Amino acid sequence: MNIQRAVLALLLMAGLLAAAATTTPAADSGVAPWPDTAEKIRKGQIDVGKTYGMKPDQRFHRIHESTLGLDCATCHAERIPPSARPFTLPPAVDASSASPGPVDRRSCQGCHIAGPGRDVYGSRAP
Amino acid sequence: MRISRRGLLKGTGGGVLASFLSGGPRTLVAAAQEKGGSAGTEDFVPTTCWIGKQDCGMLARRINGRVVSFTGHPDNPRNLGKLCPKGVAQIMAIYDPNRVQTPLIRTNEKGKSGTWRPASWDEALTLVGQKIKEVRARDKRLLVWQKGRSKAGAFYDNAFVKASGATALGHGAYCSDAGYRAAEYTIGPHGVLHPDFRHTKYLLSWGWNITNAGGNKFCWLTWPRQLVQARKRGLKVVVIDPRLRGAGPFADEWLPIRPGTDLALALAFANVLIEKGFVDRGYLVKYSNSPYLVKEDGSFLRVDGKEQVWDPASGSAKAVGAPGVEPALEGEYTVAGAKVKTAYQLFKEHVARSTPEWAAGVCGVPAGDIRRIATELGENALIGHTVVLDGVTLPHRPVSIMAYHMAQQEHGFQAIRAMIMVFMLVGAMEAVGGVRIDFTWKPHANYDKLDQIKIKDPPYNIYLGDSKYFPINSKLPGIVAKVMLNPAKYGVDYVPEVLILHMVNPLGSFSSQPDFIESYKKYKFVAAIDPWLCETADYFADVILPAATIEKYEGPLGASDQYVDATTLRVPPMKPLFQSRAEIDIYMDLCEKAGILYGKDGYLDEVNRALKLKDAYKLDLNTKPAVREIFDRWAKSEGIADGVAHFEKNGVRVKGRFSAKAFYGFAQSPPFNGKTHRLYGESLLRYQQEMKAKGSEKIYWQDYTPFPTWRPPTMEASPPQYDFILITYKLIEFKQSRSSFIPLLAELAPEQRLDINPKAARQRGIKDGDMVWVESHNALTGETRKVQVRAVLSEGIRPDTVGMPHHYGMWTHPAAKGQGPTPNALFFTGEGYVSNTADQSFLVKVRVFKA
Amino acid sequence: MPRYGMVIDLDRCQGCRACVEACKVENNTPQAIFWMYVFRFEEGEFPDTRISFLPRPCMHCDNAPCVKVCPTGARYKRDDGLVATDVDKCIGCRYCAAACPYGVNYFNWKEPKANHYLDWSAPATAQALQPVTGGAVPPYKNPDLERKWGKEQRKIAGGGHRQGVIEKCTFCVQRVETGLKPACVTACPVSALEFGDLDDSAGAASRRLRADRSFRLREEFGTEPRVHYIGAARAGTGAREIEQPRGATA
Repeated sequence: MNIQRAVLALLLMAGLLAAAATTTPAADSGVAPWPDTAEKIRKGQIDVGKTYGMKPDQRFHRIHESTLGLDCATCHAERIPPSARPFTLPPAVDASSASPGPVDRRSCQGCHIAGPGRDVYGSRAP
Repeated sequence: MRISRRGLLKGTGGGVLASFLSGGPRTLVAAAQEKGGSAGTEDFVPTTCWIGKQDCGMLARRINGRVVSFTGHPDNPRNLGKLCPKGVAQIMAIYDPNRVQTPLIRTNEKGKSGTWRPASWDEALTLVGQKIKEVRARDKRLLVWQKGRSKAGAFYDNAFVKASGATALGHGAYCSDAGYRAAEYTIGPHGVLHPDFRHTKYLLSWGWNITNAGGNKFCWLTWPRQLVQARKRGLKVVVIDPRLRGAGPFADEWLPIRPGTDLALALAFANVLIEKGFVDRGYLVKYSNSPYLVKEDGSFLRVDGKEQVWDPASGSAKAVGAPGVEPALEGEYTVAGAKVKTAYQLFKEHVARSTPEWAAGVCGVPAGDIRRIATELGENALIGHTVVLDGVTLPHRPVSIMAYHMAQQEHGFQAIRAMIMVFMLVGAMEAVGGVRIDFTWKPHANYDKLDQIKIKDPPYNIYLGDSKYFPINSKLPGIVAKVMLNPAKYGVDYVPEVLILHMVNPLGSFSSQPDFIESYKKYKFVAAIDPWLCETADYFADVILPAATIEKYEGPLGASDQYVDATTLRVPPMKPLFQSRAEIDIYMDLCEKAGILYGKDGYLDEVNRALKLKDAYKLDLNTKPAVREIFDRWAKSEGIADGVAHFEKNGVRVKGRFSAKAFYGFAQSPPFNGKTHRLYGESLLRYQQEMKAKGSEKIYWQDYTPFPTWRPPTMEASPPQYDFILITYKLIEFKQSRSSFIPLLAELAPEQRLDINPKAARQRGIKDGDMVWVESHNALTGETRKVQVRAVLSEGIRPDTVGMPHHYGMWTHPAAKGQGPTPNALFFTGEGYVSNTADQSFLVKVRVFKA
Repeated sequence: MPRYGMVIDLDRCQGCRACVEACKVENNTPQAIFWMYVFRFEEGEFPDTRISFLPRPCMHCDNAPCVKVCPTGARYKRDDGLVATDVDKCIGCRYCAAACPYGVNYFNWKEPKANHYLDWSAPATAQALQPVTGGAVPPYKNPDLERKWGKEQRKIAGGGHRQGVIEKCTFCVQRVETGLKPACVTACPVSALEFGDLDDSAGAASRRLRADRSFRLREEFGTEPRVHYIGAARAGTGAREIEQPRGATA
């Protein structure tokens, strides 16, 4: 794993955690605090579409990008200039790439261990 | 208890395998049938792997008679139920539609890519047979048989070569033969150097590509298994290699040695051992020529034809072996007015200058590390220690070395001699836990032959045997190529005309490729026996005879793991695919067409001899047998009542563990059968003197010295801009040039690369993944060659070294195209790039620059 | 009920990838898809360089993120520990691939045509070989991969290998349910892999686990993998991947 990418991911995660601690979403989204948003999505009160998938117009991105306002670089470890979106996404989170391997999922942990996102991962090991 | 689906084989010939049952497991097919499905029949046929060197035992799983996969045969000691990735992936190669499907006859001119027409076997065999017959009638020397891998030495290297009188060339001089010659000459058996793994504690992994390739004698996987077991018992591994990757995680220490300087490092080890007193004096005096008295002219002092030692008790020289004498190991004495020294005294003086500080400057390894490793070696050798095995008291010296392919360098013969001498100093050769050469103690005929060579005057044969160029001679096809291009220069008065290629691809696997492309143009007729259309056949074959892969009987094949004696056969689990045939069938038919199959000294007669068939089982000299029948007779002649059926059922015949008495040279009566180990190479000096007297140039005789002597390799005379040394190595994914077209394997290692140290790359503006030119230079001729390849940065290689694997550079198979170049297009052969024993050197100075 | 798991001895692993090949042959996986994968690492700076290897099957986690996020229940955890993918239920949303910290999920973007071991860039059926061999080689469709398995009777072996479906290591369910070990375990030339019921104290896998300290990958995610690693030859955090395979070309 590229050292630069790991550092960037760590910085972003630190930023995310700081944001989550104050329950303040990304500055440019203008939406309600995340725990509320997450609850509303779970209750079906926010329309994120019915199609499960990773394409830009499908649920995953509608939840994380459109609704929660997460920047591409949060998950895709390289910053992509706006002009290149959505055409190129590095293989950082594409598990079917030629170079399979443990991709940094630490950016997910911020919300998906013990909320506010649904529990995907377990509790942190001591 | 290992559970296995072989449980249901009772009815299908499971035989011995059934004894591995614990009951319960069901085969998948049977399970499906039980549920009312009809998945068909399933059975397992023992056979052996075709793709590698060592014929690992396999089980071919068949569904409805179709072979669908291979697993290792659990009873074969060599691989104990396992296969390397090539063996596993071989299933894809078997069914390759790009295999040669019918005999092919060339329709265009040679020296370029071939066009072919399919022919019947009869037409093709008749054509080749007639050529063999015709050329033999004129001059047998005009017929050359070149093998790459022979999987039935008795039938090919032995019977066919003898019956036809062909000049046989092998691949050993590309493999490790410089080491074989050194071991044969110095100690006696036929091999290079490997550890007594079960008892060793300290190992010098000297150029051993542990995780990818073979060590002494064995290909993968036998040695890695023994290594991991020894590691669990606390084995320490010191890796001596310009490149670390081969050793994988098994390097406890890494001495990143500059390529081609191994001889110097070995001398430095000897220097430290002597300085610190780690010398097994008893062994040296009793079993080597260390106490022999040497005159000032370098020859042994002889009285009445007998070598002499110094008897301190009587203050006089006595004949070697004189009773009641305890010879002096060291010292300078006067005998009949002449000054003499013991060979060991000369050795001490010889290595006195080879200090770790000196070696550090040559090898690029810190002096402190050299001194420390040598000291550890000496301490771990436990000189004086004995142990009892099988009731025999033997010296216990748990220090060892694995050295094999790295012998193929300009100093290879003497470098291996130097390594042997390091272990002779501590008395570890053939000791328990020490250094092995062969599987059992079996001195080779070369022990005497290489000491008694009569250097002839020209004319010489095509590999310059017994010549003033290469008196000790590993028969390098590259030298043959040089000779064919300029026979007059070497005093050779003929050029061979007919070439039979047996499972070999010189344009892919031999160095140097350009020399083979040029010299092969001289052959008037070339026949290739091969399952695939290799690059050499593409350019030069007149006829291609498609051989089967695993679909044939072949052997007998050894199945030892160094400790257990076993034999196996290749048994066909399916009929030959397409129109391919077993090579033994092909040779019998060829010999028939050539008129050399039947009768006295014909092929069948030679097979009888080669297989050592007892009278009751000998082949009738006038009947062409089925191949299976030959093996049936052989097996019965070996005392196997079931004959070949034993192997068809059980896959292998395990004869049992080698006893200590058979295993260790020390355990013989007398030890080593009385063959003295040659610390001092008197005959080497004699050869040098004779070569000089016959007008041979220095490049040929300079390394015929009684002790290994350091000089910078010839390649170092290349101009300074050639500032890297290129090395090459094997990958676990591939075997020679016959596997990079198998997609299952190729996707793991898709492309050629040049390993380069990041610092060295930065200095040249080269980034990871850049395409670069690699240009080699011949220090003697000034010729340069270059290839383009992708650079890959690695901290595991010296900054003055670049590495490029073998296996790539092929072009005939569609799946092999575009993988990158072969390093054999960069290496040179001939003077400066071969050893004094006509062994290929896989080292050359190169420069690297961005493409 | 067995508690299946795998124990991988890094002090034995040669990085040879025989396990990778054995898995491919057993499970007939397409090009660029490696249910079992072996990382090769290099770390440090010359001459203080270190090489290490890391076999990586699916972890078959007890707390599997992929199971949690699968919208259709195609991905599920069996009683014996295997994390399975029901090929008939997978809709190819790739949530499992996004959630998995280990990157073991492979998605078939296109119809896979290359490197099923049975074919040579020919149409992806065993029948292709028939005309070439003049019918000498009977057609073969691996019967082991087509059946339904487990008490749930779902199609979870073989992975389907068709466009729009995820696939990953199954711990060779077709072998485990018939008393065999996964193909990778059986194939390893130096017995670096062991598999079995971790609760069977006499079994080889649990014996290895008890004999040595062990670790699991990415323990901080709380996934509770069933794959344990023993041995000291572990890559450090600065390790670089080397010798990676090629991506899909077909």
